[in-house]
Order: sequence, then C-alpha cells, then structure tokens
Amino acid sequence: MRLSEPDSARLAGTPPAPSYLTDGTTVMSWLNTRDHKRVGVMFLIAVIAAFFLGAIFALTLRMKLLQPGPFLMDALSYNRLFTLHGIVMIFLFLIPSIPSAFGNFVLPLMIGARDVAFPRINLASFYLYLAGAAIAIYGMVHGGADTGWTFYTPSSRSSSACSSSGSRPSSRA
Amino acid sequence: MNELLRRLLFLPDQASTFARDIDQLHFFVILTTFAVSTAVGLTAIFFFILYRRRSDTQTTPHIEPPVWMEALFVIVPLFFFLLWFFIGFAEFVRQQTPPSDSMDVYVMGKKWMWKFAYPDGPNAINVLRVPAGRNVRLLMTSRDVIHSFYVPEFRMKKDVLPGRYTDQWFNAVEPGRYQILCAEYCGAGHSIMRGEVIVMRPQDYEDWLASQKRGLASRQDGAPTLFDFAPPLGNLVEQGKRVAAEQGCFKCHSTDGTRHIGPTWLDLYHRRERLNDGKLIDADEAYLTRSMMDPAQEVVDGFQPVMPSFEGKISGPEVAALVEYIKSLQSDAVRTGPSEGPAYAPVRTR
Repeated sequence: MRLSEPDSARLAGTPPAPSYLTDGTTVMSWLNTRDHKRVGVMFLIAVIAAFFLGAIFALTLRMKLLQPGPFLMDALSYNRLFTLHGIVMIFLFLIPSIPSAFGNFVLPLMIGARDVAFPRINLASFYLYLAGAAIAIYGMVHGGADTGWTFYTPSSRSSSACSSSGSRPSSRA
Repeated sequence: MNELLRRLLFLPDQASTFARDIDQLHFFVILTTFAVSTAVGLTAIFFFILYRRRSDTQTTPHIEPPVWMEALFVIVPLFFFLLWFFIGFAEFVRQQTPPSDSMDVYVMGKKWMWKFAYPDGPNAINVLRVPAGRNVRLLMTSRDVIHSFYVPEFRMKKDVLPGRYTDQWFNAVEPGRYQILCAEYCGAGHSIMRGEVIVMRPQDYEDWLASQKRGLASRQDGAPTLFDFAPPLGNLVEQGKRVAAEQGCFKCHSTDGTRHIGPTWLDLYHRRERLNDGKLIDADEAYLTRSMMDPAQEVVDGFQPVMPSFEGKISGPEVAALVEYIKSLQSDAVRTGPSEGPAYAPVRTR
C-alpha cells in the first residue's frame, strides 16, 4: 500500500518504539501483556518446557530398553510412558510450536501489522494452552492411557483405561 | 554390491523372492538421495565461502536464472520421483496378486499369538511351516484388535484386521527359520507377540504333513475322553461342515443349488452377485466373512435381510473352516452369470 504524503512524514518523524524487552520488567507486565512478541516468547518457553518433559519420558523409555524383559518397569507402565511421551510431544510441543511461538512473534512483523488483530484473545490463547496441557497430563496420568498417541480402535476401545465403563467385561473371550 | 549394501544398511537376510527387488529399489533411492544431498550440501558450503560479504557497502546483484535451468531443476527431480513411484507400484501390484497355484494357510492373530490352520489338516500356534520354493498365500484375520504380520527376512508386512480377511503371498527361497513379528501396537504383550516361519525342504514338508495327518487320525480313532476338549477333527472342510450344522446354517442355505431363505452355497465362491442396492460384488473370502459378521450390510438381491450376525458367536478358526467348506462346494457345470434371485425380471410395459 502506498502511503500518503502526511502519513509517511508522520511515520518518518516517529521515534522508534521501545524494545518489547524493556517495555516493563515486572512479572505482571509479562503475564498481562498484549504484545504479540511477548506472547510469542511465553509460548516458546511453554513449548520448550513441554519438549523437555517429553524428552525425559523418551530417555526413560530408552533406559528401559538397555535390557530386554522386565527392567525398571513392566510392559503396562512402558506402554503408558510412551503414550505420555507421544501425546506431550505431538499435542503440547509439535503442533503449537511453530504457529504459536514463531507465528506470534514473526508473522505480524512479516505482514507489516502493528500487532495481531485481537491482542487480548491472543493472550487468552496462551492461558487456554496451559490449562489444556494441565488437564491432558492429569487425565493421562490419572487414567493410565496405554493406547499410544494414535488411539487406534479397536485396541484403544478395549483398553480398560480408555473405555467409558472402566472395567468392562470382555465380550470376545 | 547387493551384499555389501545390505550389510552397510544392517538389513536382514533376503529370504523370499520379493526381498531382492525391494532392497534394490531401497538402494536406488537411498544412494541417489545420498549423492544429491551431499552435492547440495557441499555446493552450499562452497558458495558460502565464495560469495561471502567482503565489505560493508557491498550490494547483492539481482540474478535471473535462464528458463532451461529452472526447467531442469523441476524435471530432473520429478523424473526420479515418478520412476521410483512406478517401480514401487509395480512391485506393490506383484505383492498384492497371489499366483493361482499358491497353497493357502489361514492365519489368525490374537492377543498375543499367531495361529495357523492348513486347509488339509493340522493347526499350529506361533509356528508356520512352509515348503521352500512354493507360493504360499496367507489368508489372515484377527480375533480382537489390529495386528500386523511382519517377516523382516521376507520383506513382507501386512495388517491383520478383526472382522475381515487380508491376504498376502510369498515364496520362501531358502530353508531356514525366520522370525514373525507383530508390527502394529496391540497392547501389553505386543513385544512378545512373536512367531516363527520354518521353511522346510519340500520333501521334509510333505513328511511333516503326512505325520500330522496320521496324528490326527489316531486321535480320532481313540474314544473321546474328558481331556479331549475340542480336538481338531479332520480337515478344515469337514470342520466347516460340522460348524455349519451346529450353527444352523442349513436352515436357510442349501448346498445343492436350490433356492431357500438364503442364497445357496453351491458355487458361491467367486460368484458374481448383484446386491439389493444394485452393486455387483465378487463373493470372495472377504465377502463371505463380512456376510457372517454383518449380514444386513450386503444382501444379495431378491433376499430378505433376516440373517443374524455371527460376530462373537463363531471363532476365527471356525470362520476359516466355514469359508473353506463353502469354497469346496463346486459343481462341475459351467455357469454363466448370477444364478440366484428372481429367474427373470418382470418386463415393464407402458
């Protein structure tokens, strides 16, 4: 878009905006920010934390594989652990990483916008992510899902952890 | 060359007629991509050094590549990808098409074991015995969840699904023992769901088969005891006939070609049937199994959807026996076209 004469004159005279890093240094100034760059950085920290959590699960899995047979944990715990690893890595790291962290930070700069269209919703999406992550991890640890992140039926349907009625008698015995 | 690459890539032995062809495609793809990505990487490093910024005021010249060069960069990779696709597709079609002279073995996967049943006799758990150099077709189904039948040395992997049949054929070259693995996560015992293919010399296989049949016969001769729970009697065809009688199949299905409540079983196998929704189907193993498990879904035109589902009422081996029994019901007369349903459709006149 071509700028009109007065616009370009005004823009040329504007002093450079303060860096998003120096615009308030308290914790609240970050948690309550509407700056797309700050939201992006908070997302980056959150998904990296999720990545490390998933990596700890992965390292535990590899440690169990040092020796065949029951070692460190039994088969069921192993299956639950790789389900946790898969879900944390896919849904809490891989999917949100690019659009939420880098998309928030870089995309408005690339298209020349001052910020995203709805800065408060943008901030709310970060807190929704945290709440969703907490619910997902609590649900899996509490319910003991052992189906792998693909949740294939009918294996996942017959898993006691995932059937709605809990200890359903097997109809195909 | 083949052996060197196989060892470099830590691939298992090549023990079936597919293995070498699949490996050669694998080598072709991996060597080409390795060579090209190395060349791209080295060129990038070379350009980084050659075109580095030499002064702060240096500007980047605008370069327009000639059309032929752009076309080259599109056509050459496209050519390779299409070539690999066509080689892979030809191999896929070959693997999906069992030769007509292959011998059948029924495979049933369940948590967490493999069961094998031969049409002419023995059953086995976790051990599949086949003669070397013979085409073998596996007709596979699962009793509970999805499994996958995987023999790395044969370069052969096929999903095994509950409620339907999948088939896979192979021809083992060398006598030997090869591991069967389950390649679809199926629960707590997935990692111990292992079996073995024992490829025997053809003569050894015949001897084994004969000894198995003798064993079955002698067991049948003795008086039944309390400990004889469900002994496998006779071959699959006879078992199927027994199962059909027990389950009451003959109340609706005839075996002599006469029309009853359900279609006759005579010449049913591979008959072209028209369904009540107008679709033409081939009554193969898969259709027969589906008709037992979900009969209301595909009803032959002219019949009522009155058959109950037998899902959960008959076991995997019993389904295999029934299918084998239906396959055995062949009249010698040559038939043309579908034989069931109304003999002639009423002519509509205005």
